[in-house]
Amino acid sequence: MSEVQPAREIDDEAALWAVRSDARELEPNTAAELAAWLSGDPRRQGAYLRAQAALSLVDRARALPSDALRPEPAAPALPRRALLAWGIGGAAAAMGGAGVLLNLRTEAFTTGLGEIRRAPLADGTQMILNTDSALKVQFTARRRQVDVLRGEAWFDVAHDTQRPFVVRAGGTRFEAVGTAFSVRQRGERTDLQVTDGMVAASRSDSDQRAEVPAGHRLTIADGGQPFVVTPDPAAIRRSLAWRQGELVLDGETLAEAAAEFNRYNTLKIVVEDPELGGERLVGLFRTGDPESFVTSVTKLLDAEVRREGETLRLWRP
Amino acid sequence: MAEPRAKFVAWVGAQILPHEGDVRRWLSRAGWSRDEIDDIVQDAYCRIAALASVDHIQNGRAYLFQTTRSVVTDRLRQARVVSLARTTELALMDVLDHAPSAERVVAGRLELRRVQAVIQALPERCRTIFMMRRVDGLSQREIAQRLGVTENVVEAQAARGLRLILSALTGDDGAEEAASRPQPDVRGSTRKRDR
Repeated sequence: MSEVQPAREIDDEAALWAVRSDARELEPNTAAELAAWLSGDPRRQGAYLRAQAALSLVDRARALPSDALRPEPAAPALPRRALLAWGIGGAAAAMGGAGVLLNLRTEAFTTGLGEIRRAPLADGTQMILNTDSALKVQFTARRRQVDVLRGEAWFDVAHDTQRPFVVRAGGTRFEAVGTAFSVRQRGERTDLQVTDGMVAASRSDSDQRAEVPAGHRLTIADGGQPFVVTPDPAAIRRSLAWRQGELVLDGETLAEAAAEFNRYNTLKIVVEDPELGGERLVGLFRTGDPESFVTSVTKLLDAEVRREGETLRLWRP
Repeated sequence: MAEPRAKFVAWVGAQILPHEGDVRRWLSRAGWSRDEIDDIVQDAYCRIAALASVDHIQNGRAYLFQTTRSVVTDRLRQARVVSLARTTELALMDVLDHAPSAERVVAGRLELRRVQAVIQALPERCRTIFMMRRVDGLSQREIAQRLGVTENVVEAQAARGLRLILSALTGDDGAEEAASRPQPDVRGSTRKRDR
């Protein structure tokens, strides 16, 4: 016997134990053998968990209609931007066979900090979730309904006059038929940005209504405020750059830019000096790369940076 | 399986396992050998198995990358000579685990289709046994009787099927070699199986 058991051998044994313990209630002496095997090497716990997890996937796969089995789209060797687009195609293809099932249930979508997720819906609508967001999607024969519980999402709505597409956020209802727009929900505040077509906004607790055309935004500070619609097509295009993992700055202050980066990353940018924080910036950055941004800032604005754990502190000497 | 354990296992199947392939590819790019990668991945699962709860984990992919990174960091600390490539890759990992991944998006449904495809592609005897067990829900003993083989054979074939599925899902290549290795006998050679 060698002193250290190779990882593969552990994986082989773990697979055997996973099918064995799955086959039936283990008899007491067999259960004791499993316990003894597990305690013989700490790595076995992990290998056993992994093998059981694969079995659980097999059981979930069994629930899918088997005629929906399609070949995977080949992964093209393309740059990241193209890969994102492929993400849509791949997921849409994967959804194809199970559309009927999906139409009838509520699906939850969430993203973690810094995560941007494309989630094509069963009706052909494209949905992209921004960082730290939670949405609920429910499709029935009569309507398509999405609740933005937290965070932000952009929708390119598939045309379907029979089933209006309704997004609800913070007590406001946004209805669209074949259009593209984003909704952001944070605290009491709700933001709507329309990139294409027209969105009808209404409140459940008042008779306020507004029709928001492409290139316009609607900001609702809280439910009681009147709707204010403002045109700002350039700013809307800029603020939706997150869909490509980009952050476009065009005259925003350093403090505002830092707050934007902090939406996406555990590594936080802190600007202590208010004068430095008020400096305005222009540039294109990746949302997931606050360090490059900070490096540019130090060069541009004569600032210095100090890293303290998960904080990047900026100041001017 | 007891209920909490079953939930935990299902979570690992849905949230962790689908990203193992990416972690292995990353480790391979960083210059780790195949054996080292097997060890690192196993260490990562070992740490996950030790978790009391996974309720606080929002993003399984990021968590697996983080855990792997911490395993790698511990290894680098122990090593006397640290390769520059490895430490550079370690720094890049921050970007990787947060990057939107096509696989992240299609995990779930596509993953399950892959599982189906892998089951279809299993060697015939292995697949028959695997399907009878998982799909038809026959007991090991019933399968053994129908096929006229011992329960040991049924169990070994099912385990081999599981290894092949794991390999196909995660890119570990242990299973192909498992065929050429002697079947493991985790009960020890002195014991016969109980019935």
